[in-house]
Amino acid sequence: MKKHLMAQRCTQIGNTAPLGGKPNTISSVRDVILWCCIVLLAACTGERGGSLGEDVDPYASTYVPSNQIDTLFANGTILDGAGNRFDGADVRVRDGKVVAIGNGLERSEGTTVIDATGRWITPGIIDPHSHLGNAALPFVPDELPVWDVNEITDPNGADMRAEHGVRVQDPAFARALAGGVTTLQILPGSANLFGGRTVILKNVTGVTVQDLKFPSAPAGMKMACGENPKFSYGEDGKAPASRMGVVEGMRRAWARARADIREDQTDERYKILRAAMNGEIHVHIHCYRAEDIAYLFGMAREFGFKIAAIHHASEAYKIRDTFLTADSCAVVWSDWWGYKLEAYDGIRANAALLHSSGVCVTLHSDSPSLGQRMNVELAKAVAAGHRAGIDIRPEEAIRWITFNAARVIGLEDRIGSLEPGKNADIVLWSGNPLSIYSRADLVMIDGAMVYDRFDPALQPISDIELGQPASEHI
Amino acid sequence: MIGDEIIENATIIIRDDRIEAIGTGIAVPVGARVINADGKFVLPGFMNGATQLGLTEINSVSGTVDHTVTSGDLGLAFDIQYGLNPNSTLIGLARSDGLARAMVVPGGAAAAPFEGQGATITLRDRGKILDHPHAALFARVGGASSASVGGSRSAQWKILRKKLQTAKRDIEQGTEDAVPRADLLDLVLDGRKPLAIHASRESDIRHALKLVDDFGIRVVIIGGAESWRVADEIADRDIGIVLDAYAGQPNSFDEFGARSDSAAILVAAGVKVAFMATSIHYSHDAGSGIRDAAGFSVAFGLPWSEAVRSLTTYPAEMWGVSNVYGTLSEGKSADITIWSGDPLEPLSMPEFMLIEGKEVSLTSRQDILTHRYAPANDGFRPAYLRRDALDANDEPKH
Repeated sequence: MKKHLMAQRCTQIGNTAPLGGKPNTISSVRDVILWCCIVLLAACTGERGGSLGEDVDPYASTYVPSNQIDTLFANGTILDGAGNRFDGADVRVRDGKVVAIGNGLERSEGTTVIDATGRWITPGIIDPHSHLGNAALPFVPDELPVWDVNEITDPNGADMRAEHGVRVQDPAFARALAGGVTTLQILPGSANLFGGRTVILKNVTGVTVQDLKFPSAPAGMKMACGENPKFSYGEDGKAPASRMGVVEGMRRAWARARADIREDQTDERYKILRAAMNGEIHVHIHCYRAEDIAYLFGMAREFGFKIAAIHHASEAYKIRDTFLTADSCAVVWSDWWGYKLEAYDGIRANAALLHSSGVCVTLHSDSPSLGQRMNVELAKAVAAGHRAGIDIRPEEAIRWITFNAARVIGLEDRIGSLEPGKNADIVLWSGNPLSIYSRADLVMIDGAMVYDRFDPALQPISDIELGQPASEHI
Repeated sequence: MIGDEIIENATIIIRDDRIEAIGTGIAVPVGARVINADGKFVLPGFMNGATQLGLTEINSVSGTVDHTVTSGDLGLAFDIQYGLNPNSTLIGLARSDGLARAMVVPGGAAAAPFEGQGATITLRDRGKILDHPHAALFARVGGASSASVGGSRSAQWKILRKKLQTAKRDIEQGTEDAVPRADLLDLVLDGRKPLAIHASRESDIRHALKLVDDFGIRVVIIGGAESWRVADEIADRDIGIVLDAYAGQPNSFDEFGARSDSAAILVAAGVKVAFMATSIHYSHDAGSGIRDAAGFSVAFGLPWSEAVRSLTTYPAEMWGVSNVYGTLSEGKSADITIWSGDPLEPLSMPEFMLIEGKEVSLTSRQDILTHRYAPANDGFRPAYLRRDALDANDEPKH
C-alpha cells in the first residue's frame, strides 16, 4: 500500500511539473522525481513517461497546453463518458480541467460561454490503436526510408519504441483532430512477437514527438500473435513460422526474463518484460482468433503479467467469459473482416456482444481513414448491436471511444470522461455523434481550444501539405 | 423515389420482376401480396460503382482471389466473368446492407497499364449474379502503378494512347478481321463501352479528358481524388467519377488535393458521381461502405437526394444498366429496399428487400455467427446449429 501511495505522489509531481515550460523550479522538480525513482524504482518508473528503471527519461514530454480558456459549454446534450446523459446541460472548464457539469450553471465573469443548444458534447475521443506518424501520409509503404511501423529484424523487439518513428507532420493527425480525436496510442506494428513500447500522444501540434507526448503516461508494450509474425519471419525460414513458434517464442522470452540471467540483466528487452511482470507496463496484444487469445491469457497467468487489452480481437465475441475472468479489454473494429484467414469470423456485432456480457470494449482505428471518423465507427458498431437485438444507448456507447479507451492505456483517472478534476478534453458536435451527418464543431484539449470547424485559424495544417498547389484549398 | 423525385405515401405495384406502376392513389390489385412500408424510406437497391465483390473471399488466401492475373497471354482480353462466385459470403453481407447491383472490377492484367474487363452483377439470392461481362475496359495510371511499365506514368499514357490509336487504325482500315475484338477496344472506340481509368492526380485526370477529345470515347474515372480541380471540364465531357469518399486525405503523393467535399463540388458542377469503398471495405463491406461514403459526403455538403442518385441512377448510367435499373419507375427492375430509417445513416438497416421482384434473404453469415454466440443462445454448445432459433433470427430486430 505504501508503495502504491508513493507511486501516486510521484504521479502528482509528474502531473504538475511544468516539464516543457519555463519553470524556475525545474531542477528541484527533477530532483524529486529522481528521488522518487531511486527510492521506489519499481513503483515510480512506470508512472514517469515510461522511463523504466532509468534515472533520467531521455525522451520526456515537452508538452505545454496552449491557451487555456475558462469556458462554459451551455445548454447541450452531454454524454459524459461515465455512462450518463444530461440534456440541456452545461460543462464548466477552468484551468484546463472540468470543474462542473449540470443544468443552469452560473455564468461567471471572465468565462467564455459557448452556446451548445442543439449540439452534443462528449469527452475527447481516444484512439487506443493508431500508427499515425509511423505510417505517415502520403503512404509509401514500399519505401523503407519513410516507413517506420515495424522493426522486422528480430521477433523480440521489446526495447523498440514506436515514438522513435513518429513523424509529427503526418497530415492524418489534423484530420483525426477534426474528427474529435484528442489522444492516441501509437503502437509498433505486428511483425514481431514483441513489437516494442507504445507511446501516448495528445493530438496537438508540435515539432518533435515530445511536444505531443502525454506527460507521465503509463508505459505500454505491443505483442502480436497469429499470422503477421508468421508471415514476417516464416517466409524467410526463420522463427516463428507457425502458431507453435509464435506461442513458444513468446514463452521463451518471458521465461528468460523471469530467470533473470546475468547477461540479460542489461538487455533492455528483458528489463522491459520484467517490468511488465511487475505490473508497470500495459501489455497490448494484437490477436484475432479465439484460440490464440485464450493461450495468451494463459501465458499472462503463467508469467504474472496483465494484458490490458487484446487488439483487433475479431473472435473475442466467442470467448467473452475469458475476457471477464482476465479483467481485460477488447479493442475492436466496427466491421473489418475477411482480409485474412484469421479475420474471417470477424462479425460486426463483436463489440455489442462483448458489451452485453459486461466486457470492457473499445473501438480503434488502426488506419488514418477510420481514425478521422471514430464516431461513425461507433454508430456502425451500435447498429450491429441493434441488428442482433442488443440495445445500446448513446451514453453507454460513447464509452467505447472514450472512457474504456482511457482504461486500456491506463489514463482513466485523467481523461475519458467529463467529471470534475479531469482534463478538459472535450468535443462539441454539431449533432448526435452517432449520426453520419454530425461533425466536430470544436475540439478542446486541456482546456485549450485546438480545433474550430468554422475558424481556419484553428485548423492545423501539416508542413508537408503547406504550399502544395494541389491542396491549396486547405 | 419515382424517377428522381421523392414522393410520400406512394404505392408500388410489382408484377414478376418489374415495376408495373408507381404513384399515389394507385389501387392494389386483388390477390396481390401487400407489403406495408408505412412511414418508411423505400428506395431502389443500391449499386456499388467499383468493387471486387464475387472475386475475393479472403484476400490473403490466393485460392479464393480471382481478380488479377500477372502472367499469361490474355492481355486486354482478361475479363473477370468466370471468376465470379455467387456463393461468396461477401455477397450476402452486402445484400443485407441494401446492395443490389455492382460493377466488378479487375485488379490487373498482364497488359499494364490495362487491367482487364469488368462486369456488372446483380446480387441475386441464388444462382447466377453475372449480368454483363465486358461492361468496361479498365486501366490504371499513377505513381504507385507505374513500376509495371518501367517507372514512369508517361509510359503508361504512351502505351494506352498507342493501343487506342492502333486499334482505331486497324478498324478503320479493316485490317482487323475478328470483330468483336477480344480486347474490347472496338466497343470502347465506338463509345458503346467506357474506358475506366484509375487515376488520382490532376495531371492524369487531364490526360483522361484528352482521351475523350482525341478519340471520342467514353471515360469513367475511378478514385479521382483531385478530379474536383477540373470539375467543369469533366462535366463538359460527361465523364463519370467513381469516388472514394473516405479519401479526404493524401493517401499518396498523387492525392495531395484529396478533400472530403469532392462529391459536393463535382455534383454542383454537373458531374455524375458514384461511390466505391476502399481498403478492407472495398469488397468485404461493399454495401455499407458506399452508404457510409454517401452519408459522409452529405456531411460535407452533398445534397441528400444527390447522394441517393450517386448510389443508384448515376452508377447505373455510368455502367450502362440504366435501362433496367436505377429508379423506381414503370418498367424498371423491381430492386426495392425498405429501410428502417434514413438509408444513409449507419443506424438504419434494410428491413425488406426485393431484387428483380423476388424477396431476398437479409441474413448474412455474420448474422448466423452472431446468433450462434449471442447471449440468448447461452447454454448450447456453439457447434450445434439450432435451426428453429436461426429462422426466428431471420427477421432483423429493432
